[in-house]
Amino acid sequence: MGEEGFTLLELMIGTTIAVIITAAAFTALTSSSKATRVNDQTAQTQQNGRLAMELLSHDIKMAGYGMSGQVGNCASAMVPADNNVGGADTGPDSISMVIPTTTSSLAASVTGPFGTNTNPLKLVSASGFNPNSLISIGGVISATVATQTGNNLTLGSTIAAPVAFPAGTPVYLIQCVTYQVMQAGGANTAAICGANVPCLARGVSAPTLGGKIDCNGAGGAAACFVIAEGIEDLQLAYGCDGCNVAANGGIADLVIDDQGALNNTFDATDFVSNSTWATSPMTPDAIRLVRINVVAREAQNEQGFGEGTVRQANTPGPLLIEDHNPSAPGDPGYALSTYAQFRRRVITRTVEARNIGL
Amino acid sequence: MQRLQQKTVLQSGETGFTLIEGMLAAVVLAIGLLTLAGMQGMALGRNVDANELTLATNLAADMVERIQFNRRNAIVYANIDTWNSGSMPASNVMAIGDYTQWKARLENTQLHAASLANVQGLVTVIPIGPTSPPLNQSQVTVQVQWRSGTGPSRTKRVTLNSVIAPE
Repeated sequence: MGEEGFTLLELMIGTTIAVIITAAAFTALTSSSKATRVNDQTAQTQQNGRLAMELLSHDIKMAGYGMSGQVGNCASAMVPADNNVGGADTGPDSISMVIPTTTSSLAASVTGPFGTNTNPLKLVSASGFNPNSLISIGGVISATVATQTGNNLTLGSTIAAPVAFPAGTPVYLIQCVTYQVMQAGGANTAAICGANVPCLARGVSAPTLGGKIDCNGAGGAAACFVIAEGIEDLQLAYGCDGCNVAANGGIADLVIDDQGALNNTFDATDFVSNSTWATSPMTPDAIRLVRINVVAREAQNEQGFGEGTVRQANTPGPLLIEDHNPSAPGDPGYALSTYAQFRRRVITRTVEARNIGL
Repeated sequence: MQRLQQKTVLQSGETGFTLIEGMLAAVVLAIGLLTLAGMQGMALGRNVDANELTLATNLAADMVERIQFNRRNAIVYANIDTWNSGSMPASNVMAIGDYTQWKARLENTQLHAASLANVQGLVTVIPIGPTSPPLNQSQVTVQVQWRSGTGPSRTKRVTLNSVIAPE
């Protein structure tokens, strides 16, 4: 009869092959699931870095637009805040600046004199405009809001004739905006970043608040919002013109002033990292170029591609960004073993601050 | 008796998989799994490409901004080539500084940070617009090219085009 079963040998060979195939399939599953995670995290890290750089460079280019005196907590168009103005940094810098936000537009044409009770500024929507808000009408005239009634605004000072704006002219809200990296352990870090620490927060100070806005200070959690997750470091260096009396008599000549040795060349060291920007002529209105450095890192450390949990060294050593070396003098809680586990991306760009000191 | 014979004939046709068939199936599966694993590597490579593009775009944007700041002298940036030190602008302090700093940034980014291989930066400036009276407008093209590290070695480039006009 042709009815024969498997022999034991055939069965064992079959089982062995099945086991090998299953094991291979499992390895493939594990490694592709881990690789997917790594891919996802890397892509997100790069995306966060790009986003942070785009927003920062955009706002720095616009800093000072439509400004006419103090806005919120910004006394000047740009308020640099170095981590340690005395020397090497042990953490990220922050920056505040005056920037316009396109919030609304004119609902009907206005002809001067306007801004009074009888001829107020009629907006499409006055949401976000409050008494004391500084506004810019089409980038031409800046004025302070006196009262807001529905979508109508009266201004602190009447805009005299001959001035007329057609309907649809954009009306910008001029605000003092702060960029700050929220690090683990900060008072409001958990409230702002949520589970993804560290993050880059952008805060708008209310017109009534005094002093520089601090996202970790009182009221900071309500004023600041996360704009990019996984931003670990922000370092800024400023090139200024007319800020060094020794270089050119302190006169702006469209050449970035020498810092340190006067060698009549424009070099990387002419960008100032350590300054309070409070001593004349070294004041924010002299800033012309800003070198922005953003370090983005993964939200979680990686576990390698294999079956085991292997913490790889994805950043071989501390990243030296401007005057910030995480290892010397040393960030609080820095340890190379844990620092190295995170993959990082560094983006640097120099931008021109177009609306400062004009 | 005839019925039993018929059944026997049917049963003798029911053979299982042979070992060869099973092994062939395993080979097909293995090829599938290998391809799957290869796709992960490819995805990682694309991430590296994306990072290189970001670096190159920022380097190019950096130079455009520098020329924008020194826009009254845009023409001295013409024909900059970071591989040819003879192309360094001859006169303008800002332009010379921009060339040196840009070259340094292209070739050596921060310690321990990723950088681009065989990277070259090129700038062309072509005067455009009315000449009488002159508006001194220039068409500025900043190009960053590098050798991509992943996959077959090939040159990639990012080109930024902008018209720069002094006020």
